[in-house]
Amino acid sequence: MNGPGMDVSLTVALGFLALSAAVSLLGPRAGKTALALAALGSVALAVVGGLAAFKEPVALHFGTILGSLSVDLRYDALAAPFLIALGVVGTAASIYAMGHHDGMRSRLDGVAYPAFLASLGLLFGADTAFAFLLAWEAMALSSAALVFGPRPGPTTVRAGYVYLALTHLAAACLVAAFALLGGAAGHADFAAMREAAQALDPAARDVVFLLLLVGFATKAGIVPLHIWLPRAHPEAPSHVSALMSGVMVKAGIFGVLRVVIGILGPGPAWWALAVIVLGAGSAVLGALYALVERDLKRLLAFSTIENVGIIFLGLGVGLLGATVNAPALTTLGLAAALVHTLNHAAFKGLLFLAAGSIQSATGTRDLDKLGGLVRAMPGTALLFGVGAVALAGVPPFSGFAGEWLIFQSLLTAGAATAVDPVIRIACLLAVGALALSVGLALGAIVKASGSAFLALPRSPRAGAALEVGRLERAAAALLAFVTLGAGLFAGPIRALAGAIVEASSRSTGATLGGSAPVLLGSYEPIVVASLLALIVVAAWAIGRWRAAPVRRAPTWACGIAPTAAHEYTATSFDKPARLFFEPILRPVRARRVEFEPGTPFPHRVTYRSNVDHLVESRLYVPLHRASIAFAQVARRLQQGTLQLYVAYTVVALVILLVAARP
Amino acid sequence: MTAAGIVGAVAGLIIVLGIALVLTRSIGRSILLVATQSILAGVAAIAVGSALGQWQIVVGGVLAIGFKGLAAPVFLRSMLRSTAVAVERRPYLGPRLSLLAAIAIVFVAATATADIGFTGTPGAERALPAAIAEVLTGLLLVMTRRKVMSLLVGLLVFENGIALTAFALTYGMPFVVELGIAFDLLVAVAVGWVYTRRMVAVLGTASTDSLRNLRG
Amino acid sequence: MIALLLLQGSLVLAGAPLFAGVARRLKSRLQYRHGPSVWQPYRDLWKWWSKQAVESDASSPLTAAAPVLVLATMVAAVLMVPLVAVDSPLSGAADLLVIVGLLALARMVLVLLAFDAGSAFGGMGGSREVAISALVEPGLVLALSVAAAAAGSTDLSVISARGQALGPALLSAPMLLAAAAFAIVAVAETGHAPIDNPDTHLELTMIHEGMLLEASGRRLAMLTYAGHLKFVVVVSIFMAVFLPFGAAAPAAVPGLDGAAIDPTPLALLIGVAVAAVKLTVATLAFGLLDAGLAKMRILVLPSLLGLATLLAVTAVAASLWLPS
Repeated sequence: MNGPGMDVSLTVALGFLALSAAVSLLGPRAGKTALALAALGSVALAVVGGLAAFKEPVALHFGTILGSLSVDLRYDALAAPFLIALGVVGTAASIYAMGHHDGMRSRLDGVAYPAFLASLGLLFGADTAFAFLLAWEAMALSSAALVFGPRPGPTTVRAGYVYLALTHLAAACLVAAFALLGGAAGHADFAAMREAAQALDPAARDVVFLLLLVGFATKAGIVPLHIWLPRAHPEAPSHVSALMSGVMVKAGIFGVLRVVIGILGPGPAWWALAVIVLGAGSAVLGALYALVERDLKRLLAFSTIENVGIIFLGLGVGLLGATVNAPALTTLGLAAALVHTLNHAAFKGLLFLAAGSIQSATGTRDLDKLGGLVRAMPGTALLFGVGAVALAGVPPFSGFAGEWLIFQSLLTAGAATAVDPVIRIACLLAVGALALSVGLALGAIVKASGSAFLALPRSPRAGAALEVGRLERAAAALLAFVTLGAGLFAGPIRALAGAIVEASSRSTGATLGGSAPVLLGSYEPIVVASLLALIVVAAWAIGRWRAAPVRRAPTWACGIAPTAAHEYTATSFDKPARLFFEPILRPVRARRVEFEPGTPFPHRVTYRSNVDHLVESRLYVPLHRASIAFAQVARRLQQGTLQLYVAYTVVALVILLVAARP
Repeated sequence: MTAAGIVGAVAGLIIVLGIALVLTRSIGRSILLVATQSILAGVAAIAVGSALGQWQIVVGGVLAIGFKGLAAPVFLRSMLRSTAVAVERRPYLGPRLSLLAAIAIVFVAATATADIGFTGTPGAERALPAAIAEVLTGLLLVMTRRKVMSLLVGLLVFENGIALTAFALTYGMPFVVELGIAFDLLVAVAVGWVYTRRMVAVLGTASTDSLRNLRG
Repeated sequence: MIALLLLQGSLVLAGAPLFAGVARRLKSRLQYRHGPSVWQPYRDLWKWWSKQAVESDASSPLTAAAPVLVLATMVAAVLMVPLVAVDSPLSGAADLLVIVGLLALARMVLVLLAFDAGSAFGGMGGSREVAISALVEPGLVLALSVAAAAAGSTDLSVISARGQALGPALLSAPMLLAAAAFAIVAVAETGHAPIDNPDTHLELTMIHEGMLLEASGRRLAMLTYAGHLKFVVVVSIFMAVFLPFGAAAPAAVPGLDGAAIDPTPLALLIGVAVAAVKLTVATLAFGLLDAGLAKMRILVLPSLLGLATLLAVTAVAASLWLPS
């Protein structure tokens, strides 16, 4: 009864996706049909997720390769929120792509896109190391193919290579970790590894934890392993960016939940501390860099980094609860992380789709060149606005619901007497970091919405924009409904998340969480929303009662006819923030004035301002230079003679033979 | 003759042929020598296989004779005719040093395998030293010759040695692996052919030291 | 309870502009001027209410909707925060993070309004407001978290009740540090010196006023009134967390059916009087600040707000090693 349901839905989902790939091979005309099939596949995946949330987990065996590498799937309650996020965002993204000119750029896109969806769906149910890694690699390669696209320019190629390099670093760490775990267990399936992990000695467990953390943090986009995210997300087509930000980075979160917490088990307190510190750092830095960014999609990408940091804070509290054996704390932290994961997937997907609409309508992502789009694109403006209030973390919307829960979990951890005082201080400082990042994120999204939609257009292209088609708006509207619903029904969602954590701990036998989360306060979004709505209606009515008609007139600009040059641009908007956070941002400004020859009158002023991304310039650039220097030195081994290389091999062989003599 | 006797005789002949390979400078002759080596190894395999009644060893031996004894040498000879490169003019190692190296190889192989107790294949205590000597001879050929064709011959010798090692220790390798190796060799020879033609067309010579200038 | 809701609601909604009038009167007197009457804000509100609203032709429907939204947010916050009594008028809805979130919602709408008119003043005010509030948030939340962690709840009613029960022992070292941090933050949130000047209309010195500059008519009235309400909200949070003495509390002994007994009407009246005194004292304090301090250069603000955050962090550390 339970089994066939999930079995059937999964087969249906994979069938639709395979069909979509096959249809797309027919050529560019079949693009819409292929995407529609992909949308149906996503719906089926969401159904699998829904079933997994409420029914008992069922193991599905897909086959064995070469006798020992088996692909086992098991969709338990933990996979449910991720599958639902994948299904919802996938459906919206596919519908959006149907209406978008970049929806299917080539046959490679047509095959890679359903492969991307399918690999994510399989990843969330993997029950053996081989299945997990197979799905992981497939996800990385298909998304890389989508980032590159058919005719990549130099920026795109660079972005794609950085992405591939980092995702393979992550994969290498994961392979090593699974090898260690599997070696201890003798088998590669998760149940066996779970038992064997208890018996590993502490040093080995620490090594495995670090490997897993590096691997999953890279995929999630945690600072300092995040440099691929702001490069790859803007280069991919908008619907793919929505999926990458909304679901793919969550694969890293899922990995931590499934493998670190579910398989490796509780560990020393410094594990939780490491996760909390990484989370706080990513939250603040992500929000800060988002605030000073003027490319709309890069801004959203940095915001994703911020939100992943926030989710990591919840994961850290969960790890802490496992360490001190406080199931209530664990449930609270993990439920908070799950709720924010779901909510972020919805509103970030929505924002990326709306940003894609802006890009296709105006041809640019540069906020300094947009403006006034609310008149030409009112639908997109409203949809972007829904995503924006969710991202800003204000009640009664969904972003606030997740962040409120994370606040609660951090405060609970900070007040728990069973926890080491140093870690309690870290949790409370993380509260401050979270507050800072929420404030910065609000600034970032206000800047994005205001510059893009309000006031006068700052460039002719923005002035000539037209509203996008119905399909694109419908897809974004779907996500907008989900976002609003997630905000209003945060209470039930919170309870559901707690139940999922409990069910998952029961079914896997791992000590995840035991009891219902005990909250320190209460937040009923429906109460807040109804109160606000009531007062809004009353105030509106009073405001319009016997009011004189409103007069429209040009803005006063000291006597000059106001133009777009009088407005603040996006760059000028973040100037106070750049001033305040100068030690971290290190802004660089170059100004050059050309004078009319022989006169003191300026003829042209060139202004360039930039923000130094510290992680890149202090960590990656020196690493890059060092490896190039090392390669130059190693070049001396390459004399160009084939025979010399064979001689190297022979020498190595002889040394091995000598050394291996008993 | 018993299987062990056949294997012993084959082992001795292979060592002699190996020394001859190191000494000869004509590529045509070295192809002939390596073909003979392969046929001999195949014969030994067939003998052991029929003596023990294991069909996969017999099939392995037949394949060895077929691929490495007949097909590959024929292919190599036709390549030789088409490129008009016949002689290794100046190998890196002179004739006396080569002979010294070949004898040293035999000595090393013998001492390395001296105190291993053999219980498996009949004649293994003779076959294993010959096999190791063949491996090292093949590598020596690759290291000291300039012409691409010689390198291919050296590769064949090397592979013969590996196959003989496996045969001596474990009754041969799994069928899948044998097929894989055969395919591998085929690809290597084909690539070598294309390579030689390109080199002659672009650089005017099939000598690999002209490749030094291409170092990036 | 309904009585509390009506009482607090009507009193605050009616009386909020009065405190702004008192502050302005005090400032004038300190500057040896006669100054406007304390009822002037009411006259200003009525004046604007009667006038026609003018909007920029670069603006969108947001300009009409934003004042209503901001006002609604502030009214909701006023009805949620405990002022007269220990309990919030809307029982169970007094979570401090929610109220801080509502203030953020109002700020967001206000900054978007500032963008909408397409004038440079709006951008100036909005950009500064956003940057300053980002620096203010950590100090604000941390200071309140000290109290929340000590009380075991983020509900302001619970914190308030515990504070009342503790009496003067409430003001331990961590709480004093947190109160100092919150005081600095409160100055920033309400837009008084040395962070903002509420009376100026000079281009380079406006933050809050800059965002309101293009509003007129009933919209300006709503936005100004919302600013008065915000002052009451911020001071109420401070009083509820750090100085809850005198607010009407439910009876110490629960009733026969186990439910808490509502405060008596006498307690409510006392609560109203105490709240009025507290608000007046706060108003006078802010007035003194306005008259005595010059507005700081914006470049120096991070050090002041950083001081607030540092005080809050110290409070957090102290609360873990000292009893609170």
